Amino acid sequence: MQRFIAKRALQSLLAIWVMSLIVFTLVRVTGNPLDVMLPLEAGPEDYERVRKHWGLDKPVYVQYAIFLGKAVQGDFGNSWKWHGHSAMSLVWERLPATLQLAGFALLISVVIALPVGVLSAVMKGTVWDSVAKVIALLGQSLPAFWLGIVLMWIFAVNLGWFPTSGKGGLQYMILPAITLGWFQVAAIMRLMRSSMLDVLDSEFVKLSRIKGLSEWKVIWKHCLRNAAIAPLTFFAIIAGVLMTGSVVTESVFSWPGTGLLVVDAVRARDFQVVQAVVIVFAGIFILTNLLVDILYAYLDPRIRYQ
Amino acid sequence: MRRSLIFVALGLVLALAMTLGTAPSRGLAQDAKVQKLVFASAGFDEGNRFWVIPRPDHLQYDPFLETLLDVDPKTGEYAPRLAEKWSNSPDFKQWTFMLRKGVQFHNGFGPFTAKDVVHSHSLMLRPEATATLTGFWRQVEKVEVVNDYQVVFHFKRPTTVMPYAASRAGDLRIVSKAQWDKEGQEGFEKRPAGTGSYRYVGRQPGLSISFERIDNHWKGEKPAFKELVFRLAREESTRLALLLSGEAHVADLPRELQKDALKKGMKVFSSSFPVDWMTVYLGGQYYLPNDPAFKPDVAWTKKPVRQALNMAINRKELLNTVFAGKGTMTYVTGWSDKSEGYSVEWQSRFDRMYGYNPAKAKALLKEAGYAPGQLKFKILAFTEPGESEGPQVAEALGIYYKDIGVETEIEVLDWAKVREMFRKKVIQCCIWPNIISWRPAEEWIRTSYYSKSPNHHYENEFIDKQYELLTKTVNPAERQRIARAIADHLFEEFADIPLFWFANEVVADPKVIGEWVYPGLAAGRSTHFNLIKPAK
Repeated sequence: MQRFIAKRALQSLLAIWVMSLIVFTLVRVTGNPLDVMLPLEAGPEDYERVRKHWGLDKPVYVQYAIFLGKAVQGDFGNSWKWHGHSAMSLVWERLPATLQLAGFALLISVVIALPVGVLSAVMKGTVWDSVAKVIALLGQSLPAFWLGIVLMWIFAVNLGWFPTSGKGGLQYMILPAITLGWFQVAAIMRLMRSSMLDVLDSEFVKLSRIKGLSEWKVIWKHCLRNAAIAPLTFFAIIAGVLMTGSVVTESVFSWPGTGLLVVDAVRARDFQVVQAVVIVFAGIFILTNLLVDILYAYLDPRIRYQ
Repeated sequence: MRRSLIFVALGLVLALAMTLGTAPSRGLAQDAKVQKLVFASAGFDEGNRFWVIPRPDHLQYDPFLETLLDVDPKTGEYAPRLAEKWSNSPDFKQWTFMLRKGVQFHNGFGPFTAKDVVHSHSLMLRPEATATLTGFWRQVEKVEVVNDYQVVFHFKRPTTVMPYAASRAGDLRIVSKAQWDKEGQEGFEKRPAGTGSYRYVGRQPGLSISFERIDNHWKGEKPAFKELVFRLAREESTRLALLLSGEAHVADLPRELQKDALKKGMKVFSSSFPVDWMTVYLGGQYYLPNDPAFKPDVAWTKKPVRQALNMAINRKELLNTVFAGKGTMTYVTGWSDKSEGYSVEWQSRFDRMYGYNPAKAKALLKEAGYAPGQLKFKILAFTEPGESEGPQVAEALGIYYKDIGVETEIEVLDWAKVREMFRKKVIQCCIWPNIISWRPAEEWIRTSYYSKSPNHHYENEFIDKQYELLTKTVNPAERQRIARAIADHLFEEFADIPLFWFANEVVADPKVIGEWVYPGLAAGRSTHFNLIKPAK
């Protein structure tokens, strides 16, 4: 088991290093940050001065070596856009808001998707099932940007039930969380439905019914517990998707999380912040997958010997 | 199981009820007395270090960090502010400012004196400085303190644009040296002390910046609203929603969305002066001898092609469809009637030379050797926060050019990429519509047409010589003549495709805001918040 964990951990580190190389290269391909930082009035001497100040006068491989050397210590350099802030401090400052929103979106997804998925399986072929399928279809096909604006106009502008945007109490989180979680509702619901259909066909369910258990207990206690395993393992992936998917939602609702941060950083060619956000997100993804791998290996010994 | 489900359901209902109970009440705007004025802005580079922030983003400093001179909201003239008087030496190399006495910095940092001017200027000399006029401030040889209330800026060469640079249109914000000495940069970052009629309260990064009114402003300015908040919302529809829901009282909206706001009873407040112009640049006009970037096969290096590309455009139609009719014709890119060298003659000749005439445009193309379908090029389009019309204009141009037998392809890039292309002179392939803010003529010529500037649009020996002459000339009549010669040249040569001038416009709730007179020429465009009068 220890060998398995060590091997997987090394693979994860390799993945993060490759990611650092990709993001470092890609942000530099997009253009010169000085063209965003400097005004039209800037002369050649201003370009030289600022280039030197930010170390952009050094060869790219030297810049990468400096970046990597500092990054392993958790230092991604100072932001070029948010002067006086280190890139990592900005990420840590904004990450709680993203986690909060992603967590709430996940909660909403589960609260909606699980019962609807169960009902859809139990009432297969009925109107309920059709309604659930429509929800799934809408969830998968509605772009978050559009959905967010529609929700904002209905519930904030016309009905005045929620604030349009920004961050504050729980009421500020509801519309962005629904927007963010809506796609996942469809995914979890479909997974729950198919998993539930499998369980409903199994022998122990038939036995429970023969033994005279109420239908409520058979479905919500025995079937749900068994059927929920598949969606639960899917949560690790969903959590990652929700965090990275927050870019659009945070922009629409002016939610000051890492999604909005990275949008602003990309616009401003703030390489340091873009690199920090991407690597932190990648790290979270890789770490989550590593934990899932370890968990699988723990539960199923065959995996660790493959 | 059933019981626990009931508890969960009850809990959810309770949570929702609490949420709705604490949701901000709608119709704040309808309250008789709004104390906190909320301005929904497209956003800006956030930060208190004004020396790294470009002019348009100085909006965030306008309420609390003052400048030596003001810009009169009605006349656009430079007016006394922290400096009571100013004058220049006959050779325009020294500028003297007599400072106002009795001005106190916020948060108890003492009186404003000449030391604060020197300190504020020194921030522009820091290696990271990227404010719009950093280059200008770095030309100052020294700032001489004559006494506590008199300073003299010494320049290496004659400088006529000093009033612009030192005014609210420029970017030298006066901050407290005493605060810097006592608290260092960290203290300044946390709560910068200014002298404005609002005091800085704080920021929520990415979300908002807040100010509160002070009661003892040196000039007696007393803003009508006790608190002022800038809410940042990148998305245009979000800003409209903020305004219509009553969460914001003023919003910076694109012209297209202004119509929706007006239908809901909102009102547009325009700046007293036009502030931005839209032009279409034609890439690759590098006419200096032996410039390797000059490619003779670029169609618009031929004057008839440039004229044809101008005459193919129905400017009135374009203005009405894309900009809701809000704008005025511009005749030479960058020249408004407030610019040195402006000529009223351009207007009378414009229609004949530039006016919509597709038949003439086709004939001009033929004269230049281009049969229908032979000329093909790219139109680059980009947007900036608060300026979203670029791609629509590009599409309209494509349609107009198709009518005269020119094939175009639209490529959407971001501003930095386009800028890099014209800076490196690799933009011969393309034309691009651009919105740029007003600058004094000398600054504009240097920025846009002088070959030694990093921006390469239209360059030749004549402009270079005239510009260099202009920088050495201090006689106003002579300066007028030189600036006029350059502008006339651009006009006669069809150097680019001048389109429109725009005033700055914001949309506000007329139940909250009754009047707001602001020039638009000041850094930040929507300025003079102290002059906002509440609705009666």
